[in-house]
Amino acid sequence: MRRYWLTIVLVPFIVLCIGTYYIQAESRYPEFVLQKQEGDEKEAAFVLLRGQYGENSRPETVTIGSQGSEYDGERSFFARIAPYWGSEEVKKLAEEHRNFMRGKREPFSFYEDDDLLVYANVKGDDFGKQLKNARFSVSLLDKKTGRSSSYEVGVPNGNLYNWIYVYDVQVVGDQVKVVTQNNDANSRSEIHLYSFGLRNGEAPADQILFREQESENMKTNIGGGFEENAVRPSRYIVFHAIQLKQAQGGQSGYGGYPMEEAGAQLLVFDIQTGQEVKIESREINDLLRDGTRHAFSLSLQGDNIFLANKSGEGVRVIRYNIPEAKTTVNDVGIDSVVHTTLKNGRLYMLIGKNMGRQELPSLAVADASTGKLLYKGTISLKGTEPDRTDALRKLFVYDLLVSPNRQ
Amino acid sequence: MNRYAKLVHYEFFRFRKIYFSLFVITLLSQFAGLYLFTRKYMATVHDIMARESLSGTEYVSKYGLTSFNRFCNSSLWFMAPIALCAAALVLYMFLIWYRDWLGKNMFIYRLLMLPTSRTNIYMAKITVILLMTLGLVAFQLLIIPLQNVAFNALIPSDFRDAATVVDMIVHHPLLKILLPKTWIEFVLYYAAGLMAVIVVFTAILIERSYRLKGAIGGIAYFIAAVVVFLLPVIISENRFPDYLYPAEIIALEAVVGILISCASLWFSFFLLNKKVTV
Repeated sequence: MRRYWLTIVLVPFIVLCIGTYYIQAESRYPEFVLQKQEGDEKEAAFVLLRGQYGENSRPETVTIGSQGSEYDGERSFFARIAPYWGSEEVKKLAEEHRNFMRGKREPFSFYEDDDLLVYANVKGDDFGKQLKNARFSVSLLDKKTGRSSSYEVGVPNGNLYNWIYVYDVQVVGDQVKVVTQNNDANSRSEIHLYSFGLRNGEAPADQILFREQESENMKTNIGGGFEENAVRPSRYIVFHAIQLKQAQGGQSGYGGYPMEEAGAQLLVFDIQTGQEVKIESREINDLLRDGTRHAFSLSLQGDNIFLANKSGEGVRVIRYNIPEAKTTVNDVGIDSVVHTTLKNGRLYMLIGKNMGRQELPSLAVADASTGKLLYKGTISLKGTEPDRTDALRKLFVYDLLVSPNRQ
Repeated sequence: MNRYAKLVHYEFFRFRKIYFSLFVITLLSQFAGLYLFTRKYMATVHDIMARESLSGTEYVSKYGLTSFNRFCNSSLWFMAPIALCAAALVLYMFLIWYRDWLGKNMFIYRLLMLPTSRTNIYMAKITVILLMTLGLVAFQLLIIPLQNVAFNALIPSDFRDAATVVDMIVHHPLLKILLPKTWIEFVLYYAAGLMAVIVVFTAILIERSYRLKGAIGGIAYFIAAVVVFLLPVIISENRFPDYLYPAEIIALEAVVGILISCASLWFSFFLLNKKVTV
């Protein structure tokens, strides 16, 4: 037996070294927490702050909330390889309907009501070049029976375009309505409203809602995807259009190209009728006239459009009720706001970057319709970590993640 | 069981000289590299401080701090022994079999004549390869904290950033493969490695059974195993992109891996018992 001591020692040695390593490899980074300073704690329950920790070339991404913090690198193996869903609403659909959601990642391609879950996306050959065989790929799930079906229907005049991007899917009566942005071979953009029968794609129809003007030196950039919840039924859809024109004297301006802004507008469409709804609001027109030099947040929630931008000593929130054409303006007196998100009828504000500065990153939440401040909280170290005072200095918060508030 | 254990010890024993020299080479090379790195770094620091008339803190604000991580990621003295040990073990995967056929009095005669089931021979060889790999990994884990301490002793704290062992390993190009972040991944990686060794052993036994035809057959077997292993994922991602969730792909590959391993083991035992001739 004594002859074999070498081999006998080897196994425990291995288990000891490797086991110890994995046991103590658990927590290496300080834990942060979002602490309430004033207001209602429940307002912060849906918010997570995203940041980076560490000054060296490899900072760790961390997510901080009112319960504590979690570092991306320290999530479990299965959490790290989980698929990325593009929005919280789609992720919830994936959890509820695992099989139906296979291979369906697009955040704007879903419609859900009490009876039905519909998915519609545009597929085609040579996406990005001349589209061939452009077709809607549609899947339906009957939530009551659990049965699903799918079909394909050709996109009317699909081959005129290079790519088609779905921005919203709605169901009106027995028709599926799909709002898309189409780009043709000359990079001109159009907004389309397609309709076809729900059960089998009968009678596909195409309606052009907006067409970018043909022009030598003007270009219109269209942006979409501003619905607070793209999955639930919605009557309206909002697009943001910026006109760019060639700058005089070849000066380099917006985005590095020799273009300058010549105006901006919000395009609002009623999906049920296919008509554009004109916005009658002086405040919104004033805001847009400055173009995107003043960055603002835009969100469509039900029948209301919310805009928020930094102004003067705080944040200005504009609420425009579409059917009533009524504008409400509120100013929230919070400064050093770095980032705003409009969701759940609230204005979420991220305050104060932290990179060697004294200020701690904070979160403020206000009611988007009244401007009243509902919550204010600051990031601090959780529990007893007194010797990590330099930890807060190494933290840099850059984003807000807001989950849908299921009321 | 006793026979198997004795065979394991025997296989380990006959390789011990080279195996322990790997330990020694790693130890000496990494510490030598540490010493050279720190000495050169401090010499450069003092040189620049003198030439540009900087104080310590001024140097740091201009040129930054160094760290143990930087030594491990950039020094050949640190990384070469790791690569050397890996290469040595890969080579021995073949030699552990072929050395038995060397010389006039081939050891394989006596090995196959032993009153023990031939599968014990196979299992002993694979056990030894696995244990020796893990032994080197464990040894590396043992000496890294020692190197960190030495590093901190050789470079004054004003000029270095604090580093933890875990932090260094997780960001190191070689070590993060040998020691993945979680123990689940550790098990998956080394199980895959074990499968690779099993497949290579099968290929070797095919060659030893059929000589020249066997050499081609062995290579073909290895390639076939790789293809079968990758096929499910390739097919699923090509025909139905994103259809399978990542956890399902892992589960699928685990099942395929286990099947390949079992088939290879069965085939190896068959060859060993019936076909390998001396």
